[in-house]
Amino acid sequence: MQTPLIQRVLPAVIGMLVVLALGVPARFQWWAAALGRTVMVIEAPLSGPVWRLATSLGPSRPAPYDDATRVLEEENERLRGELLRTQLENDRLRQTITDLQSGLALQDNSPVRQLEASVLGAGSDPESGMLTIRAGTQQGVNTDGVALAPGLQLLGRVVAVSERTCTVRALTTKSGEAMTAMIMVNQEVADGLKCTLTPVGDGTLRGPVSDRRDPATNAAITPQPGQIVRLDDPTWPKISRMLKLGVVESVEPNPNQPLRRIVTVRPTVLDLERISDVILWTPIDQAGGKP
Amino acid sequence: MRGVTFALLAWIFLGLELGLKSPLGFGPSGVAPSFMFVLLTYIAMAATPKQTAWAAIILGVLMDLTNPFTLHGKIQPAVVVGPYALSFLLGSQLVLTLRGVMIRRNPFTLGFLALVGSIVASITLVGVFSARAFLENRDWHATHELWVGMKCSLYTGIAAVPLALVLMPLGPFLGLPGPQARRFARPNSG
Repeated sequence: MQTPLIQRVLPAVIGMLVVLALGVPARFQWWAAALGRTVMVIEAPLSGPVWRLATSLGPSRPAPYDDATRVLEEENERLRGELLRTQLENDRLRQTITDLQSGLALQDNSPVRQLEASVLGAGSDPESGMLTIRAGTQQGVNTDGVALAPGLQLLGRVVAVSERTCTVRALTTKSGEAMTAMIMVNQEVADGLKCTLTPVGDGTLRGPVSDRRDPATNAAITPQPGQIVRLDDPTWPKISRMLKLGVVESVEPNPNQPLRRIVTVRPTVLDLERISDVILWTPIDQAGGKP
Repeated sequence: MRGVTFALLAWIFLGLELGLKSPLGFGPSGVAPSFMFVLLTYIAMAATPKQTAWAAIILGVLMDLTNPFTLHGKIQPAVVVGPYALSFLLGSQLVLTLRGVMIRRNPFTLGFLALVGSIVASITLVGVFSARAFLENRDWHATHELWVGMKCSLYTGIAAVPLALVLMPLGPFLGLPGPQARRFARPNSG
């Protein structure tokens, strides 16, 4: 570390860092992301157990599940999601057939590969909401996948994959994008109040709800606290449609539009960005992933 | 300074940074201690300026590589090399400047130096990412990030005190001179 050569190299290295930090856009530093994933793999034997220990001791751990109850709840949630997705798909196909009046090649619900994997750690900046998961292309994970928390609560989408790890961006991340969702007025029917939710930064999602009226009474249908909210965003992978985003925590009037409401939605898992194990869903065929 | 011991400590502290930082943080606020900066502060308290600069660059680059962030409208996370490395470098320079007037044996010294060094590092980090706003579209609010950085610095300073009890006995293994070794020795310019 003290050889003259290295000493002479130091100013050049500092200069290079200044150029990289201030002058080179991130798209030209793609190699850094690959290096970072390698670093994460090297760190995995330590960061993984530390994360698991810390999240199991921390106050914000998810409520402990009895294994049998958890399996039943997840099966129930999976079937409900499948039913709602099928209903949406049927509606879409009816519309397509009506529009085109011709027989198109119709897709069934895409099968998914389910994989349970442990979290290796978060990024250096906890606010980024990026979680590194111990599963990669070797396990069949790709960027069309989504990650779920216990109870099939949607956690986020897979945004990068390496051979052994993948990166998941949590949906509650402050810098995350807005997503369209559906407040389930009736649990059994894929028809509810549409809303656009944006991550607030405190673990919740917030946004305006579309105005809708009851055809019989013409009274406005208002969302109620406790109602389940499901993802219904065409920009997300297909397999994530109708997955649970959380429950309505509060409903407020929209200050800009008096007829509309603003809802705050909280995921059913206490702190999504601090769970120790996730369930990864990856479409078996590519058509199931692409939005 | 012994490279192997430094590499081992860097591996351990980066593991703590990735595995413990978020669970120890205050909810989703992003306020969490930086274990890597505590290690750097400890090295800067005893190593030569050149060794400190190299340690800051290596630890900072490791932080950069493990800090993916989201650019507006992009799904793939972005990684940029340099911001943490430069901020660690500047933060460690302040520690180098102040260490001469500190009682190095006291664990609170590590806490204080980690606090002030981390403040400088946070300001530099926010400055670099704010300058990068001209390069790419990122959801970045400098005032908020600066405020979070100040709180992180305070947390880092507090976390450094118990860590000092672990780090201080490791000095000989790192090949760093102890607090007394350099008192009457010729100053090492590095």
